[in-house]
Amino acid sequence: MLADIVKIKITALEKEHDEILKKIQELEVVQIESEKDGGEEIRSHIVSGLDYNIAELRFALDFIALYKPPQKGIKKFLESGIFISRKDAIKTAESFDYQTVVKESKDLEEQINKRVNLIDKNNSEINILRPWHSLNIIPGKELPAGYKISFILLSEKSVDEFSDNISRDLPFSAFEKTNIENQELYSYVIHKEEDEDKLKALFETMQVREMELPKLDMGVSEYVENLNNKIKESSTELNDLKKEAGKLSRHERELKIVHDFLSWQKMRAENEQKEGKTNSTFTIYGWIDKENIDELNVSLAQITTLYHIEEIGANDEEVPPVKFKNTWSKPFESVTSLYGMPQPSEPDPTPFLAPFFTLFFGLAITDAGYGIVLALISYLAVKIFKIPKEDRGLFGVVFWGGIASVVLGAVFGGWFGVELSKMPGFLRGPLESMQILNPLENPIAILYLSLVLGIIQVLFGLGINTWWQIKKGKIKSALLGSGLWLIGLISLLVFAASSGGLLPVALAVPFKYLTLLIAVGIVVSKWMAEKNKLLGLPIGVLGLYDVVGYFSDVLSYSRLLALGLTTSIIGMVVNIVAGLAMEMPFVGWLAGLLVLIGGHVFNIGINALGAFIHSGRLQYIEFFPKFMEGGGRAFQPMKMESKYIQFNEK
Amino acid sequence: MELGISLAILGAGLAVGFAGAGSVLGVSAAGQAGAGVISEDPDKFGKVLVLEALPATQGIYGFLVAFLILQKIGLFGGEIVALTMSNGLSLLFASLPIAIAGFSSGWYQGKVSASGMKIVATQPKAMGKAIILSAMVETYAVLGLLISILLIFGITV
Amino acid sequence: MNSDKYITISSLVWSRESKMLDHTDIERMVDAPSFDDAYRVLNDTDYADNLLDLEPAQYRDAMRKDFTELYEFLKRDIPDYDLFRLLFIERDFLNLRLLLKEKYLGVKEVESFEGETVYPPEDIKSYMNERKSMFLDEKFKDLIVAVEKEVEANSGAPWIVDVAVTKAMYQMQYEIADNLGNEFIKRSIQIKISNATVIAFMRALRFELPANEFKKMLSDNSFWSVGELMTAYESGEDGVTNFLASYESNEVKESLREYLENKNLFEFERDLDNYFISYINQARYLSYGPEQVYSYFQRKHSAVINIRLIMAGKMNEIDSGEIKRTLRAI
Repeated sequence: MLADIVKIKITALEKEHDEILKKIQELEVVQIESEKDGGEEIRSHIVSGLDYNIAELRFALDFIALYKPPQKGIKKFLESGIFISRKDAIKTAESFDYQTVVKESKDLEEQINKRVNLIDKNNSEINILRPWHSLNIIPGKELPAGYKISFILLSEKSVDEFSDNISRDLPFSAFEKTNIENQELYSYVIHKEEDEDKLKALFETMQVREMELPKLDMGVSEYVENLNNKIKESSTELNDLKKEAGKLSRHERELKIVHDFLSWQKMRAENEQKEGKTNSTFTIYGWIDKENIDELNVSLAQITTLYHIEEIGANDEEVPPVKFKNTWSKPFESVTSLYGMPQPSEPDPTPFLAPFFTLFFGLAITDAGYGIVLALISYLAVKIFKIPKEDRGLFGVVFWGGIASVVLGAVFGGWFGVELSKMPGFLRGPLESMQILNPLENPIAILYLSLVLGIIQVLFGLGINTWWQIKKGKIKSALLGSGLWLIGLISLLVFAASSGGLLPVALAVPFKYLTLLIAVGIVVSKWMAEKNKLLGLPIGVLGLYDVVGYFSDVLSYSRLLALGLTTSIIGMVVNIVAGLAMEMPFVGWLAGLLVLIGGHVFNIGINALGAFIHSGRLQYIEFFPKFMEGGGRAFQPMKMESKYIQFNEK
Repeated sequence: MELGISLAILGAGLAVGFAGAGSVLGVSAAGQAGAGVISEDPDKFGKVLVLEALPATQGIYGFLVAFLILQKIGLFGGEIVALTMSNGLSLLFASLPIAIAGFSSGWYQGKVSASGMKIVATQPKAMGKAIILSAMVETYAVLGLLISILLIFGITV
Repeated sequence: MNSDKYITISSLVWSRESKMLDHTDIERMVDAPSFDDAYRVLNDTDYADNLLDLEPAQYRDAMRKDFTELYEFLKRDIPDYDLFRLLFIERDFLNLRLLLKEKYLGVKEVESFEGETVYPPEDIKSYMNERKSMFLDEKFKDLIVAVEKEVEANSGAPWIVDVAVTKAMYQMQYEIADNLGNEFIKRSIQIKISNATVIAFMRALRFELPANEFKKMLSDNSFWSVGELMTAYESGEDGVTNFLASYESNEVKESLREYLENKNLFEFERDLDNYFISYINQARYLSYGPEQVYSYFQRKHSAVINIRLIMAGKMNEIDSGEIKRTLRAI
């Protein structure tokens, strides 16, 4: 079911504005719309300022997270949210001086970065100088007038040749070797300034590379030693700073609360920009679930008597947002919203898909043992991790899917992949009495079952379409469109079944003619709907081609068999492998146990994912298009949307 | 050992080898894309993981078929069935649907998943659609698996 | 070209793109009541991390920091060195231009060297002076020699430095793109060269440059051969209408028509830039691959141009509508 969303206009006094807006945010029932038509609002100073503060907080939180001491195991999981009452959260946020902590984080970050950069810089300098550590002169020291020095790198192989060349061509030069690394010689040449060109030419022909060294005032090895000491010093400082940063984590909780508090403020400020204002009053336009108007009235009346709520009609261009309102099928809203919201003018598919989805999920698992595990896990997860109500949908779906798996697993004799004949005696009797069919012995039966389920769901989809259109008063198009197809397909099925001997043969002939009649009806109704009557006939005939679509839709359901078999066979494989592992001497029991647990956990995980996705796909691709297009926008009331806080009151 | 048995074993090998290779290619492509998303946005790990895991199923399907073949010829305990040449060939052929469909669909599903990371990166709320896009490719591996299984069940040895 | 190795970097880019400056941000910046308010909008974008300690007037520093980050990111993560070179080589040519001006015109602007280059500027300098370098590749060396020759042949006229460097840059970019073997990227370089050619064409016409001078400005690898361009030049403004058909874009043709009426070269140039960006934006419809990285870089680039235009406009209190007219598409 979809809620009845209407547009309202709230008018009240400007002086009570803040309080009223806070109340509306707390109630979480109104989606505020801009009073101006379209266009972007200019951002107010308030929003920009809040943005800035939130960005600062985010920075501080990220920074603290980087250096805070790691939490241990289960505690980390359980402490994911902050549970606090609205009142306490606001009190904490208003009294906590977050600016100081932010400033401290910024200072610390700067200090840390400074050290890190220093270490990097020194390291890279060391890397350059390292091959020259045994250099016996100080680079950059003054040479006698008229002399220059070139530091060079040449291949070890050409050293002798180079040396010969130097002594032959440049008699007043000295060629000194320093160090060999990676078959390259680090060396230098001291030469007369006027020989420079000759030397360069020699470098070129001998493929010698010239190197730049920094000017130093001490020997290379001593200098490197100094750098190393500096690095050590900086590292110690760095560690202290990191510890200091870690200590800031004592403020983490408060910072998170302030973060959320500011987000609420920002949300109000953003919505305030959408309001219309006069000197003394303000007006809010918004969408609300009709049912909640009374609640809003009561709450606002507590603040002031001077306000007015008026229901106004939406104009034609405005499409109201969509809000689900389901009771028993609520968890399955998560399945629908994975696809997208229906249009406000379309039926909500949630209650229709819920039984099918559950059944398909169960068929894709078909193991009672796994079903129990899934149902238990999803139930406990909600309890232990205190999952907030709006996020529980998925767990609910898995819970019911698990229950379906238990039932179907029992019917098909699947219990953790153990063959019933190998079960211990006291279990064997009752379990065997529950089993109706063994899928491994008779897969074809399950295939037929899957296809029949497919036929039912496809026809059901057409039925929904017909019913919805009739409800909306489009009786003609309902009967001539999906209605005709619905009857036509049923008649075709009866014809096929009676010809095949499943139904009395006598039915074959009348239903053959009924089917043909309806086929003609489909062609004619399509033909008549076309504006161009000449083109209309071929288009009408082509319309019959849709039957192929229905056929392939139904075939798609065969995946249920494959998925179910996968689960049970892999379960068996795990048991067999565990059995093999048990035979190991001494540690066999342990290895077997590990294989059993690991294997079954893996099997449950991968197949629950597969079951979910493929059951979902059957809804989205085979079922939904029969009666809806989707593409609605979700109802998003102004809320106290929080990243960290979960309110612990109702 | 008879040639029939060897052929059946070849079939099992092809099923698990090819379908597995498809999954390897697919999961690794999706994983590389996922690593990119996570390094910018570590909070999206859960979403990325689901999308990455999708092309992993083909490998499992192949494994499943291989297992069924091996069980059929009695390689797990019990006696090894005396398989005629034509029986062995039949089992070999029965493995081909999942071997071929599994290899190609695993590989290409991975590519779709990797592209789907674009959705996770830019519109995380529309992630369900990325999953469906990717799962469409898997359909053909499922159909291949189905036929392989039905064939193996159908062959009497 | 194997796009599979671009999977990771593509998804990195997608993640970053979601935080990039978008239409709404630009609108908000332009409509902001003051310079400071426009600056605050940047807090919602990928520049946020670089804004924290900066005053609005220092927005350029934020842009620079952001660009340095982009450079480090791409240098580290691009799987093909050639693609990295293609993206940043433009900055090396800017440095080359400075060095040439220093060498031939005696203008010393070493302080304003561009960072984030492929090669260290000192290396370019040492190659120019002593034919000695550690990092330059052969093609770049050849281009330096060729540019120097051309400058010397024209006895070091200031304009020839710009012309020769630009030509060399386009030649190198085209060659790298060709080597990459990615049609999308290659075509985009071609569009860039063609855009520059069309603008040069219009300028030359306006200043009544002699045909032989104009010929020196032409690069190969635009949509048209040098011969075609020269023939078109002979026939004046009518010449250009014929060969603009290669753009396959009605906006460009429309814009040319407007230009011929109002002679507003600035707007025509903007429209050609927009055509380039709209081509680049087509990468959005592609899956992972080098195009994603390339188009991300180009979009970052045009975002920077827009921010500069807006901030400069806001600083001088120019009317919002006026600023909007100058902006590039994103």
